[in-house]
Amino acid sequence: MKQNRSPDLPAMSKQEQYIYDHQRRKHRITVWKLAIFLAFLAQWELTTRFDLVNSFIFSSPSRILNTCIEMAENGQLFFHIGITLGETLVSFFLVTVISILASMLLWYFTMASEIAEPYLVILNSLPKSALAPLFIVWFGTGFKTIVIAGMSVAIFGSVINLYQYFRQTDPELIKLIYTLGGGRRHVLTKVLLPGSLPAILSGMKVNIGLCLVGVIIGEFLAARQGLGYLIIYGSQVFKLDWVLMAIFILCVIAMGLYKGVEYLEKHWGTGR
Amino acid sequence: MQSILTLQEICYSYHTLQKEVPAIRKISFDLHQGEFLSIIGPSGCGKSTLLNLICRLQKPDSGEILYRGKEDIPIGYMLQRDHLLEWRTVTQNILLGLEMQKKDTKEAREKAEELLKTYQLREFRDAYPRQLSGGMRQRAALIRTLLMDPDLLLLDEPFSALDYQTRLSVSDDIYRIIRKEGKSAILVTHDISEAISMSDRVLILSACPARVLTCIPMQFADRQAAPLEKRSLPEFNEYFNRIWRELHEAKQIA
Repeated sequence: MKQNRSPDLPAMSKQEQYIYDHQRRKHRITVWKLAIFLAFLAQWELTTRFDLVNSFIFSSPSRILNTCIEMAENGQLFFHIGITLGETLVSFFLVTVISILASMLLWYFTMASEIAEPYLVILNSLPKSALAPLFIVWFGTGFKTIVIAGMSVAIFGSVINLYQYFRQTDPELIKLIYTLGGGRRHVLTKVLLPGSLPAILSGMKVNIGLCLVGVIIGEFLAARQGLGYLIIYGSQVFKLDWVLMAIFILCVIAMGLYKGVEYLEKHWGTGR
Repeated sequence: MQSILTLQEICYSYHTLQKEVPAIRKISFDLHQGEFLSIIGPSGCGKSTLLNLICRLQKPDSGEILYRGKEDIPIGYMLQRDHLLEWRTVTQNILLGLEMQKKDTKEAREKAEELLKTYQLREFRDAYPRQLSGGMRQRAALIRTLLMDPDLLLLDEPFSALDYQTRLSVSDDIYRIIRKEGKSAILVTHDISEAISMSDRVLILSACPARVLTCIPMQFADRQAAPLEKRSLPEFNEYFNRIWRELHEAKQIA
């Protein structure tokens, strides 16, 4: 690329030019990201305001904002967000702990893992929403059911992935532990667990999203509170402002949770 | 001289569903206290299996392995690659064995510190393996093995992952360290030059299933010569040709 600055400025060195180009490119990308978002909001607002589309069905940014403010004022908004967020975090925490423990056990008891394999595969590929009605019958319509629905989406895949990762560990590393006088237990604690920390963390990034999916499915079917409930209830009483607001907030939450786990990954995964 | 290790007619086979694969057939030899023995043979002839048997990771089908006449002695095993754990510092890595055997005492730590100093890794004691060169990593792996205070060291092509330059200097280093600590050692290799320059005796194995073809003592006029120096001594070429011929003939018979 040629010099992009005006000729009266002093000439840049190659390195300066490289950095300048790099930053310019990054700025452009940011600008475009924002522009698309704003353009989308603007056309939405304008088309509804000039009645090109029906704002009763499609809502509009200003109506969503007003609903937001209204619900924030009477505290309902934070209540629903808190419920969904809490359920997601609890199921995410349980998925993480249980899948680490389960894959350790599977590795430790080789025969058990071979026996369990077809069951895990079936449970993993089964659409979890098919199980949700059962959860309601078994566990009622409260917090517990939603958390279990959230977990059910992520847990089997997570166990399978982690166990596979354990199995792919370099056999020479395992041999090393034995040559240094360690046992099977040490293989787990000294090699497999610390060695799969990056895999655990990247699995967590996937799981946080899946847990949110499961929680929303659960709330659709069995809740009296939470954003999933707000979406279902809003659509039933034709308050589409609620529905779209809840979806919008879900976008923010999904992004926030992902970034949160990514932050953990950066801190634990490579910082050592 | 007292022997530290005696193998008596060791046999070992691998089993697959299709067939039984004999890997080692009636191998017998002695290793003297303080001796450096090299085992050389065609690739895939069961050299590593032999070390696994000596280190008690696998059990022979028949035959007996005696350690200084006793049941058991501490054995150190150096694998082909250093296998330092990337998430541990050099110090944490070399203490791994002691940590697992619950011998991670203050004295052990002092000894570790001392070995790090002796083998020029002191400045790197808090570094991670990825910050070390290949030679330094291999020295760290050796310290990890030595800290277990083994009477016998098994070296399974420990230099094969290094580039040639590093390989020559690291094998010099490791040779000196082993001699200095007065350890007995068995080196498995398929590099003839390495076997001649490092060891007191070279044991030649046949292709699979492995048998002992012959055992040649390495006698250099200059007994103090380091491995690298031995490579330019007149005896070196003689031994090289002899071992090469033995291996070549073995291949033709097989």
